[in-house]
Amino acid sequence: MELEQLLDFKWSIMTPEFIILGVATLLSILDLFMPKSMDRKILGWIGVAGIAAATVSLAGFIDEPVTSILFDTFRLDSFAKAFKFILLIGSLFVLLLAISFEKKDGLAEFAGEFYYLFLTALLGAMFMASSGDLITLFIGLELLTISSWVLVGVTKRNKKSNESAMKYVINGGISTAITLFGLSYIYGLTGTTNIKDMSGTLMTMGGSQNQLYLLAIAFFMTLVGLSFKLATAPFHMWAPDVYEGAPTPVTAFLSIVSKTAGFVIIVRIFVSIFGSVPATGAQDALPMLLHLQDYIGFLAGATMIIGNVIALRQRNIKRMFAYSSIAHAGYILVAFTSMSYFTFDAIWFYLLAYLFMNVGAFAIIQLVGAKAGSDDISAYAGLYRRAPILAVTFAVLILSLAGIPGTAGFIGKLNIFMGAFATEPAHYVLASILIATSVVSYFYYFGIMTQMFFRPAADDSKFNIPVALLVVLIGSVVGTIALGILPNIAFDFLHDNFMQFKDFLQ
Amino acid sequence: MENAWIIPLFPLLSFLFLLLFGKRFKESSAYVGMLLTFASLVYSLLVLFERFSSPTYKQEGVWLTIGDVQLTAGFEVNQLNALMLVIVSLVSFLVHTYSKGYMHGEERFPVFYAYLGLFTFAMLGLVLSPNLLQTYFFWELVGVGSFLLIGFYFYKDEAKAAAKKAFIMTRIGDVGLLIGMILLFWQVGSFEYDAIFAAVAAGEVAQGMITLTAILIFIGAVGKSGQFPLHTWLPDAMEGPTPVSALIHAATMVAAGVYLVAALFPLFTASDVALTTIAVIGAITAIFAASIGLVQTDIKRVLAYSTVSQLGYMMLALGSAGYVAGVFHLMTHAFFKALLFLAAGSVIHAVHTQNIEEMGGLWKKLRVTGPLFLIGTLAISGVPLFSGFFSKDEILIAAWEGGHPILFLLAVIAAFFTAFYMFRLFFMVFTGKSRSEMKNVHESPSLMTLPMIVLAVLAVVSGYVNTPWFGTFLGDWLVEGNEALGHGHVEGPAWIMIVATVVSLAGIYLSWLIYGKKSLSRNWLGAQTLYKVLYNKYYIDEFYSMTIVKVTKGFSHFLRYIDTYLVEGIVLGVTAFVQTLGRLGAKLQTGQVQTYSAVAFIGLAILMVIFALTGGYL
Amino acid sequence: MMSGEFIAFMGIALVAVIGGVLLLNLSNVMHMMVALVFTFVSIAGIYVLLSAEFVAAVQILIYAGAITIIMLFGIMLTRHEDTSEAPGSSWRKFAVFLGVLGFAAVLYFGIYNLDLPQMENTLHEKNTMQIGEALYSKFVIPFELTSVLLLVALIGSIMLAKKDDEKEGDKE
Repeated sequence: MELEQLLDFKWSIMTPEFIILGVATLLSILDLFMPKSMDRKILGWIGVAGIAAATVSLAGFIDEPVTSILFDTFRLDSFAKAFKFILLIGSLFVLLLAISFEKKDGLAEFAGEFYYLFLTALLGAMFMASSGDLITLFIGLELLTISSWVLVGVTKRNKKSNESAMKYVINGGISTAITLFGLSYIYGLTGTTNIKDMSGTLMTMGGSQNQLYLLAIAFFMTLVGLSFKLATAPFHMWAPDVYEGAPTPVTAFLSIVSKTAGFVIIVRIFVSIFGSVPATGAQDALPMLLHLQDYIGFLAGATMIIGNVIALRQRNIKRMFAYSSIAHAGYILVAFTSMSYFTFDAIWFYLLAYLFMNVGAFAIIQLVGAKAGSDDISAYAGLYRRAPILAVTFAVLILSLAGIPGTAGFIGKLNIFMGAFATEPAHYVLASILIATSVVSYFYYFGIMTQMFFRPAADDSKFNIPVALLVVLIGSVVGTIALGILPNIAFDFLHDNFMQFKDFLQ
Repeated sequence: MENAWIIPLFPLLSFLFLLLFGKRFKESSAYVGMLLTFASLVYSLLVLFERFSSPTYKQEGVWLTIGDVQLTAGFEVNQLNALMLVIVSLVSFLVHTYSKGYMHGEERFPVFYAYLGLFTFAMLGLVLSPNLLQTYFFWELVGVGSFLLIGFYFYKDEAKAAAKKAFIMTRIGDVGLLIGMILLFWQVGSFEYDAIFAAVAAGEVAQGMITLTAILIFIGAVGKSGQFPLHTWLPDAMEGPTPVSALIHAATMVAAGVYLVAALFPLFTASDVALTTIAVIGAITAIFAASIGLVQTDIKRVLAYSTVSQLGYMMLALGSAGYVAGVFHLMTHAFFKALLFLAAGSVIHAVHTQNIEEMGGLWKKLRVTGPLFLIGTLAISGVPLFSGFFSKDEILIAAWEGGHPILFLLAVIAAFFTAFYMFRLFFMVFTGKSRSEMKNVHESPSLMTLPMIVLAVLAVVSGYVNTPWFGTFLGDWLVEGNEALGHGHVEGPAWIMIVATVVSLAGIYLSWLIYGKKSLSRNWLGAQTLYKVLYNKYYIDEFYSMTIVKVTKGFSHFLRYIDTYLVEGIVLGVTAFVQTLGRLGAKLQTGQVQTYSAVAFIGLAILMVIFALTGGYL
Repeated sequence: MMSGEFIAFMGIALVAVIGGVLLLNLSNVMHMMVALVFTFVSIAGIYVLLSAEFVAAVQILIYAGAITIIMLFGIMLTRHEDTSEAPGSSWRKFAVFLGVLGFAAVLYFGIYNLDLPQMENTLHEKNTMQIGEALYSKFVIPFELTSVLLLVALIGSIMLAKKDDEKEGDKE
């Protein structure tokens, strides 16, 4: 391949990634030359500006037709664009949280690194969203994972943070091994790492029973391996410990950006590879993805039950939100299981809604946690009396997480719910588990509400909300309510610009 | 009518305004709330009058497009909506006014008014909704408002528990509603009431599906309207401030379930099974709650059980295809029950207790509240010429004509109970010896009595809009232009009215003998009962106390046991199960990273083994 | 069919597996490292069998060489207990054993008479150059991304390993 040929590619479509990479590099250099005593917050704001710039440049490509560079190792299709928006907005909010995070437990020394590691993690996630080749997908995944490992353990003097980093690394390693094992089978069966070629080869393979069997085995290994990123059963158990130990902005990052990236890669791999293979030798047979959807459905159901039921027993709010985040991943898996006409819309919308409601909730958890010095649920007692607006904000976000009408969470659940009914045969069992576990979730969500509104406050001290945090709070509440009352904003955006993701496999 | 959408916005404005600036206004927040709800009331009245002369108005816009499915939002003014608008805004306005006096001196006064505004907004929005989805939105919002108001006295543990219980119990019903709604959507392709009715009328939906969805939706109504077996939250909800009980747990929110069934009436009439279910549940609830009401000693709990029982009546009416009877009773009940609650609040305000055993002889001290309470009691007991008489009569006729003689009998017995325990309440509170510790009893301020007077007038006259004697104006108007709703007035045998009268008078008389004149022992279950009865010269009274009363008393206790142990027991059992599951799950979460990986790996292995064994590839 | 390749593979694979098992079951850290080296080297042997000489060389250089040596240094320079901790509960061991058994059985059924379509391919021909060309042309994006990844790993390890000199004493 000649140089001209390389330069022929339309590299400009990578502008958002280049911006993030550039800003990360810039931050690391600035961090090196800045005097030690200087406040690193300015670096955080530069990072925020960088993400904003990347978002704008991504918006500039919104009408760009499917473009691919170097045999799909990078491709910009509507799927990539739509989900990159979520990743970027999520990271933007998370970085704002990080700016206002109190630098303690040895974090002060690494304040600069703290900011740009978020950017490299985001970079990994963005590559995951826009790749048509397993190698890029995997490297993006690893970049995201390794950056997250460091971020989780960054508060070195906090024993819980150390412990959780260790757990995250070990579990992450195992999950990567399982994923790779699964992917290597698919590679072995097709002889290529390009997802499109894989799907083509598999479709025409006609496959002996034996090969299909192996492919299905690969399906399970990949699914379970990647479920680590989603924190769904059976790879969910790390989540509570890690969420509790990690610094709050990192927790928010794991539950929003990292989870979104997990869904992106799962949808990309499963829909394109397993969605096109006939489950039996016959050409007109059901695709393997649909053939095996009961297994995904089983995992989704188990995830919802585990997440919501164990959350009932938590006293630590970060642990509670860890289980709640497990449960929400389960809801999204329901959408993925049903593979209806709505699936892409439902997953995208739910992730967007989840982004808003969860980031706002973590902003408040960070604020209250720093003030009270503990994440125990009793720290929220009488919040309404101490800071009425903060309490109402939290209440709105919690109502949304619980899925009460008028909030984004409800529309998200409604979408998933309708999707589950829309297919033939309909997924009545899954839909009922979704509803039943949602009811269970009211107990713990309303436990927090009861604390805030119906308990006397321990002290009357007021809160001092930093600017960055205020931006997050306003953004998240406006997002939650706007998407709840006028969800068409999001759906119109999706339909006008992304054509139902029809170019997924082009 | 084109601008009817503005009606709910007034209270919303009140809510937002008081949330932001309430602290500055202190107790003058009340005027903000009153003014804005008054605006709603005026507008609702205008809409109602306009609706008399013009047809149903409906306006909608596309709200959400998912694929090729379009969901709409908008509002509709039909007869039922217009009537409900007036009921809700009127009661809300009166409660706003009343609370100015009742909540005087409360520290979080503006918050209370803000919550009231939120609730009124949700309730009015619910009433205006032209489709199921929008109804569901406001349905939930109403629940949230009720949650906040019940728990208003958050320093009381009972209030906290009651708020949570109310919210979660009604949510259980809502699950039914949601599932029914979505099933219906997939059958019909729309959430619109009109579209649903059209599809049902055209026979596009299978009969079994109609029954299933109708019953699921009815489950939602069961939760909201406190029908058996999801009724237990309603008496507990009495922990909230009394004006709230009047507004939410008497006149509006609990009536939402009845409203929902009424609004979807053509769907229900398409399935006999669903109708019968409603009628049976309604009748059971009516007699069940009424019999429990016989032995309660807390003034508000008596009223709460009577509310449950009256709601059962309405359901019975609807289930017997008595659309007009149900809606009519919904209206009259809203007035006299709100009156009773406000009057009870006035009593509590004066004597600072809710236990009726500790009251007595208040008639002379509360010269305004007393007669007003009496009017309410007469109305609910179904004494002729009061509003409750006419609406209850309609229900009894509907039940009889609907071909449910057993349910009719139950309704008659419940009517007897109602008259009995309501007058028991009245006599124990207002007659007899006045207690020494109740020296400083004062009548409530006029801010509180005026709303009661308005309601008392309505409790008397509102029955005359639909009577067999002076014309069935309301009924004719309600069903105008919609055959599916049945007839405006159903002619029933004349003896039903006589039976109803006799039964209610008998109940009052018995009550008077026991609690008013005290010629019968109050302690009718004790050993000395028999002894005292021998000295009693009224053979008929003896008969009552020996047979009916004793049996019913025992029955009542029996039912209360069921209530406490069986119904609550099931609820507790489910809770305990979920809790145990949670405990087991949390136990597995040892903190050992090896366990986590092991679980993941074993999970993978299990999936793969199951697949290998059942996948059919080997 | 007992070709020489098959016998060689069985031998090497057996060593690799035994090395892995010993790594888990030995209690002395130094012994563990030796077991690990056995595994690394036998995996290199498998690469050779697959005609991937370059990868085999890299495997020996980096894994068996560099990584093992660094780990040995790390072990020697830090304080450590010579023996590992007590093993976990027995029910878990049993469950994991069953899991491994099931996993292995399922995979065995999948591969024991797998018939993959044969493709003509030239082996042993400019192995290194092919890899280089692929890396610098077709896979240049993931390759560059890997450099970012390595940088992050570098920074991360320095962050986590750097001695916490800022008033550590105050805390304790």
